[in-house]
Amino acid sequence: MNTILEFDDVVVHFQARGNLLSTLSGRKSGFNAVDHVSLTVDKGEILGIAGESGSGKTTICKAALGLHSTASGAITQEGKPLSINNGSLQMIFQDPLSSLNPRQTVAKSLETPLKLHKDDNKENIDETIDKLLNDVGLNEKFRNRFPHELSGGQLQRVAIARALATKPKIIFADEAVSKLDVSVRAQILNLLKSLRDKYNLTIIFVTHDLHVAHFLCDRIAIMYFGKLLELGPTKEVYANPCHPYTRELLGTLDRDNHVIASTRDIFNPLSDDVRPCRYLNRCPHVMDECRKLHPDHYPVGPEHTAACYLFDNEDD
Amino acid sequence: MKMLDVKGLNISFALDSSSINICSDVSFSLAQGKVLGLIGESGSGKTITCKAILDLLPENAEVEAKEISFKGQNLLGLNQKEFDAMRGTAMAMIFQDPVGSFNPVKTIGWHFLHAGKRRNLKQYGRGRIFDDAEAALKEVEIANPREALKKYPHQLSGGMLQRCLIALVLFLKPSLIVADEPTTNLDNLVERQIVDIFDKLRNKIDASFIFITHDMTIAEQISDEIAVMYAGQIVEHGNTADIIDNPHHPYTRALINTARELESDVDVLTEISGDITSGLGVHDKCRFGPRCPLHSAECDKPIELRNIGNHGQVRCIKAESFEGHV
Ligand SMILES: Nc1ncnc2c1ncn2[C@@H]1O[C@H](COP(=O)(O)OP(=O)(O)OP(=O)(O)O)[C@@H](O)[C@H]1O
Ligand SMILES: Nc1ncnc2c1ncn2[C@@H]1O[C@H](COP(=O)(O)OP(=O)(O)OP(=O)(O)O)[C@@H](O)[C@H]1O
Ligand code: SF4
Ligand SMILES: [Mg+2]
Ligand SMILES: [Mg+2]
Repeated sequence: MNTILEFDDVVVHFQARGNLLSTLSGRKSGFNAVDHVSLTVDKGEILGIAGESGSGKTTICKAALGLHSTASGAITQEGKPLSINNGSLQMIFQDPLSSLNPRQTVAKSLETPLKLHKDDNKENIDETIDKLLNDVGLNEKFRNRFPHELSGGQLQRVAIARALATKPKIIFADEAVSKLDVSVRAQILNLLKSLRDKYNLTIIFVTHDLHVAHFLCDRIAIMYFGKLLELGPTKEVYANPCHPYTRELLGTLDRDNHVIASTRDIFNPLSDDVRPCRYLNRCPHVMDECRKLHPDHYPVGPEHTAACYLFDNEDD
Repeated sequence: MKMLDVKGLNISFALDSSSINICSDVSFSLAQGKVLGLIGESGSGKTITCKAILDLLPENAEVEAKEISFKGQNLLGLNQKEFDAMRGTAMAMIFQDPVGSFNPVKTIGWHFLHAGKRRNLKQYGRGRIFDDAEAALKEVEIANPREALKKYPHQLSGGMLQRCLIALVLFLKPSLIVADEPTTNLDNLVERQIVDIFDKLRNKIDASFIFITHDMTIAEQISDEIAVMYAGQIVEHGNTADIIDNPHHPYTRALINTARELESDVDVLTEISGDITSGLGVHDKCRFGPRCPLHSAECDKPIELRNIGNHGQVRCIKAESFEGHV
């Protein structure tokens, strides 16, 4: 296949608010929000990223857009550093307000990217704005509204329209449909799918909604505390979840399954040893090697890998 | 006991020269310890309705109502000061936008201290307030509450911030809690945890909830009753099982069908076709008419919310045609 985006051993490090005293006392002053993640995305693919809240999903997308710097590793687009200024890369942010200027009307905030990336005349731009609004289930009546005059889902849709305006090649969609009613959500999901089919658009789709991921995504990546724990074709991962965390997470889809995440001792990146498996404290299958080193990815099925020693069959 | 009673609520916004009517004739009541799930169309007025109850709407909003009472007390007669004293302590809202709910230049800990003042906990001192805060953060599964208290909002992930917001409201212990899509940024495991916490809480402190959500599974799990909004009106309201298993309004039916589709294996999802503009502010005909598969000439008149047998209330003249359907 045709790789468009490559994450090669990417690390994003955040400094906690440390002071001199804590540094001198040997306390760690930072942690890896994205911790040695490798992953490729094909042209025209929709890759889902799901996983624990705070696991680094947003951070890895922002790193690709250059909004966070990488501590090590590389992110490349077709072998070259990512070009973020020509509109071929867009992000729909988890917080739609953060991408919209509070003092700009809807039409204005769509016009800006359109003007930057098109040499069309005013009339065409107006038409395109209306078309974009229609695509996301709004209409020309919303042109002159300001962000604070919109509902949560209307805002989210303006943010989507804005990201689509430059006809990007790659879209990072961070919880992009989470605030929409199911019917509008259906419209947006159908739209994204058809854009992919028509224009070979590549989408990195971050979501907590496992049904949405199942509907939309070709492959799915499962993250936990900065680590990529499992990666594979969505249907295959849902049918055959391997990593204990993935099993726990996907287990919630079974309505009769009432195993509740126990009040658990979760990994603390600032005080815990970062060498062992991240999932150690919660895992029911802990073995000796799990305590030593976080595992590599092992193949568990067609194009399907999991970072867990349960699947290390090398010495069998 | 009745916690909340809303009758004939109308809300309009002044825009430029005109004024647009958003909510019209919204009425419902909520008993102590009960959870009302509020679902429906994006932009239909769910947030606005709740903000009106808590007197949180901007200046350009015109609110009219026959009655809004809280524990028997008429809220419409309160002045600004009396309302301020009640908000946060007697009733509180978890906003849809967690980022905007925090002061970006203050730490999470500061927000708890600030909230502590509202609860008149000053005599407790910092230590005790932080202990309480840590306990509240633990309840919402924040792994390291002590560190979270030292963080600034932008240093937390979307889901962590949302949980901090929930913890803040739990810390205030109000008796009416409006939660506006409080689980959208959470993974399923934490989401379950939060739903459990809300469940525990309403038993423990007998709090009532209005729970706004787009997630049918959550709505079904958490609510005693469900109200469905479309274009500024409640179009269906009844017991949770009745609404989810046997919806009587064509809009509710479409919504629930699409939710089911999303859980199954389809390539294209069913959208509701038709003109979305025509709903808001329309008074002389059914607001769902232009998109309704059952629409006929009789629907072009004002449609009342009416009782349908033992199903609850539906705003559709053809509601009976769904009687017995599943
Ligand atoms: N600017 C920052 N400074 C310090 N820490 C940060 C910063 N941004 C994020 N973090 C931390 O990095 C971790 C990963 O955050 P990220 O926003 O990527 O999570 P996420 O997977 O998107 O979670 P969610 O599903 O809740 O949105 C979290 O622990 C968060 O607190
Ligand atoms: N300040 C305002 N001025 C004018 N119109 C407004 C204002 N605030 C909200 N509206 C409009 O009022 C309607 C109801 O908004 P509300 O936020 O209550 O919707 P909602 O049901 O909560 O939707 P969502 O699920 O998308 O959050 C929307 O159509 C919105 O555009
Ligand atoms: S009143 Fe008529 S148009 Fe309105 S929902 Fe019922 S059948 Fe459809
Ligand atoms: Mg995020
Ligand atoms: Mg809302």
